[in-house]
Amino acid sequence: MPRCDALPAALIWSPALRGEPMRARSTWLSKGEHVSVQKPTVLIVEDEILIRYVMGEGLRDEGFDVIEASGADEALLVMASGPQVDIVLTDIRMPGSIDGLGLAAAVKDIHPSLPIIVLSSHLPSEPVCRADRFLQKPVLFLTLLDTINELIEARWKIQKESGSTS
Amino acid sequence: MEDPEREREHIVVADSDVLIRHAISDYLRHCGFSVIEASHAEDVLIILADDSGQRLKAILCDADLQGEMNGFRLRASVKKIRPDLHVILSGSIEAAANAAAICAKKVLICGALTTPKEL
Repeated sequence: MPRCDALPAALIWSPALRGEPMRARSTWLSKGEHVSVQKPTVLIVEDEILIRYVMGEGLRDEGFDVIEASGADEALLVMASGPQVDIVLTDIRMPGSIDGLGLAAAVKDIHPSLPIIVLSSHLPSEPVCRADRFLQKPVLFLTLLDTINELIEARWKIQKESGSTS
Repeated sequence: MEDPEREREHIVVADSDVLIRHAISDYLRHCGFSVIEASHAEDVLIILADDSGQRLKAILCDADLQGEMNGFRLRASVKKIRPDLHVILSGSIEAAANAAAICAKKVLICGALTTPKEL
């Protein structure tokens, strides 16, 4: 089976996180205002199956719903097909008609407030202006988790404020 | 109810259509399986190569898988590596026939078999 040690350059898994179940869900529940809210949905866009699998399983263990796309074209299909996505995690270099930076731009054109995290082992040659965060691989899973939680919480806060003022 | 023993059983869902793959995988996870999603045959072979503990129990594969290997060819490759592994091919009759035709040197494809004579 895919093992953490099979991913030397992509994602550093922290086994200690296993003892901290449902981090994402408990974050929202502890505020006492999202009890009936669905689990946040993360769209992972990554062409390397072992990285995608480990990242997906890790986030599911932390209480997220995860949709896995193997490329930008699949990700755009998911976005166009209706499942609500709360955050997008994308690699840069992927086969297909567009890469991760192109995906970020395309998604932001349609959903300007949707948070996007770009992960890559290579620093992008052009500014990642359409993404909210850039994380260089290898990345600690805890860092990834904190970044996801921060961006989702910020988005939900904005949505709540705009909802209460309207 | 989820069977805790079943949680240790891994299944690969191989389908080139992300929406179908996600729907099937989510259902199987709900049933208690650990699911690995593959978008093409090469991904499945990577998973097999990494499965030293042989925790993988089955592969559910679209017969008309896109890429260099369709479901039939993938099944043949998988069986050479892991003869014990269950491979379940799925798809419409037409898609499966087309995929089989690609593998066969000579094949007669019938849209619908109505009489023995036609066959």
